[in-house]
Amino acid sequence: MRRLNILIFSLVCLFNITGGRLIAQVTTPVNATGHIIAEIIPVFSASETSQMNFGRFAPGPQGGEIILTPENTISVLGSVYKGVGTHNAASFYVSGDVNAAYSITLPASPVILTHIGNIKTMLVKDWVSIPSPGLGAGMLQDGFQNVYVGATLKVGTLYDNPVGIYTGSYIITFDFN
Amino acid sequence: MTKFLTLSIVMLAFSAITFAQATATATIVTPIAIAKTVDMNFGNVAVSAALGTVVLDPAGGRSQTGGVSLPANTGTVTAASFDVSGEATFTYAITLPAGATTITSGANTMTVDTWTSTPTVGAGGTLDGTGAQTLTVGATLNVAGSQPAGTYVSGTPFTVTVNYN
Repeated sequence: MRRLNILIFSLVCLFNITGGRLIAQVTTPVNATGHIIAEIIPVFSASETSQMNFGRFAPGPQGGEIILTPENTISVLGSVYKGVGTHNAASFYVSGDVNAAYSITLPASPVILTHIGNIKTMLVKDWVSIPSPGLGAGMLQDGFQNVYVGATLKVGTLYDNPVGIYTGSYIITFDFN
Repeated sequence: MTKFLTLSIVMLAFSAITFAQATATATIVTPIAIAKTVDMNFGNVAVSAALGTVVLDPAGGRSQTGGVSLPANTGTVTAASFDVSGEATFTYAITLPAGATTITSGANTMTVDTWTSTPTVGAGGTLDGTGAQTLTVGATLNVAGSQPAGTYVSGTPFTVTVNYN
């Protein structure tokens, strides 16, 4: 009986000390999991494998044009006489992710070729390519593709374009979409 | 003497009960819960001979360091996202992985570490008036020089833990 009284007294005192409230707080942490994914892709690159070369020719009295196709065929318009020797359409080796699409951008305006010994010039215009230029035109089947580029060389008279070698550079852009 | 002491204690106890006008209440709250809705995806990453990192922030934005580049063709880029639910307006603590998680592609591996979240671990989360909040998680992908190409996936998922404060 004495112990029971002490117990009652203790509980009552505790109840008053806590301000008349009984508090219970039990929280359990919960968790969730997630996966991580990353795709490492091969570096997209392009390199010139063949320089564009219109070959040898002789200007006539009125001048003319030499048309070099991406398929590496050459034809002449006007008073220009094609000589013997080699000619080459430009070619580029493009590599990257398998089946990746990319765009090809050719020079938008004519490119100037300059005589290596003087200031005489010729223009290269009407750039064409296989695959065709444009957004997503290229496709890297098996992770690579060869791109062929042709253009038209505008030739002046013999006075405008004296004998010699004419060179110039141009920019072709391959953009990984 | 013993009888006198017992009587005093009981009387004191009765006195206390008489003046304590109190109500005992208990409230059952909605348990906190968390569920993943979106996995973490670093997207397409191009590499070079130099090592580097890709930092994916909790908003899903990417940045790079070192020899890593991020191509215009991004692929799918997503921060991880979790739905946290429970008692409206309650605050909760967030625990992100303490170490690195390994992701693999065949025999090749990379690690993911430096975990970040919105809301941050430091600030903790607060459930809105409907008892919900979205928790997003980012991290840093460590890429070796000339890391082999492939799709890397975590074999063991990472864990995010929440608990009421």
